[in-house]
Amino acid sequence: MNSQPIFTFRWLSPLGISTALFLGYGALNTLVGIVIPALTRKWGTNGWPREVVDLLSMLWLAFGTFQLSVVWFGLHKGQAWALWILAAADLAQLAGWVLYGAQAHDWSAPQFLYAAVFTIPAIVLGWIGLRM
Amino acid sequence: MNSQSTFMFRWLSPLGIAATIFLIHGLMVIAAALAAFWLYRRPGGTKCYAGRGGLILSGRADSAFLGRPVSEVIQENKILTTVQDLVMKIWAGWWLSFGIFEVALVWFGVRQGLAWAFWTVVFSNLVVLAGFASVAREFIRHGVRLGFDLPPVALYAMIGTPIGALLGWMGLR
Repeated sequence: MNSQPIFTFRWLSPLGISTALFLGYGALNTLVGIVIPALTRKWGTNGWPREVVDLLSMLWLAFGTFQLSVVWFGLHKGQAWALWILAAADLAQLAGWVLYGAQAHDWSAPQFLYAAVFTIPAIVLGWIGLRM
Repeated sequence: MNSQSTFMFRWLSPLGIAATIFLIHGLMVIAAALAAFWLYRRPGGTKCYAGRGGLILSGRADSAFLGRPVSEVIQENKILTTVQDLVMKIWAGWWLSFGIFEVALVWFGVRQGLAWAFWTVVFSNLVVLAGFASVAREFIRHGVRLGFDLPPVALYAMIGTPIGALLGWMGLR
């Protein structure tokens, strides 16, 4: 922790863009976790059991909270451990979507695409940014 | 961040016990998620395991909720089992990331006395518990009497989160 005193964060740098992508993905999950339970109560669950939808939404919200906290208080301060936590957690979540895609032969599920588009560039840029 | 430089973490302190509670929970979640990945790695996992473990809470509670044995429902409804097979894969990925975040935040944050890390862990656990409470309420509304039907990770969180939150709050003060 003491090796960080001269760290200056810039949004227009690889680490800054990585932070923005991770933040965006965290915010998206948080938003989905909050909005879906409200929307499904108004418009219905399209055949899905409400309990499963609620539980999944809460898991999205928890994921979003974790993500936003680790990005803001960790990666934004230049902490390397934050990047590896984010990489491991986001790739674990992406792995679930990859297994889903492999069985369903569906690689266009929006959540899978969001996960891939946000997290893979964010991890690569974050790694480059922390090395600079 | 600089205010943490003199912080001394001890496992046998209120914050240390809180950290242990959440660390164990995180490891349980990781183990459960990896087990789910393994058990549902091929199509047909739902037919093999959901009869005993249930589709939502437990075999017993789900059977009472559906009004007939869940194993019968699974055998008859091919679409349901296919969807559940797919959902379990996505589900396991989310749980694995939850566990990784929880363990890592306790290890790198709570042990350093970082309040934001501690409250993030507490809040995320409460959010997931709220999800389980919503499920349980629906079951109870349908006249199902719930006992130890929640998954072990949720039961542990139900007991551990308030204790951990209280101890951690005391420790951080």
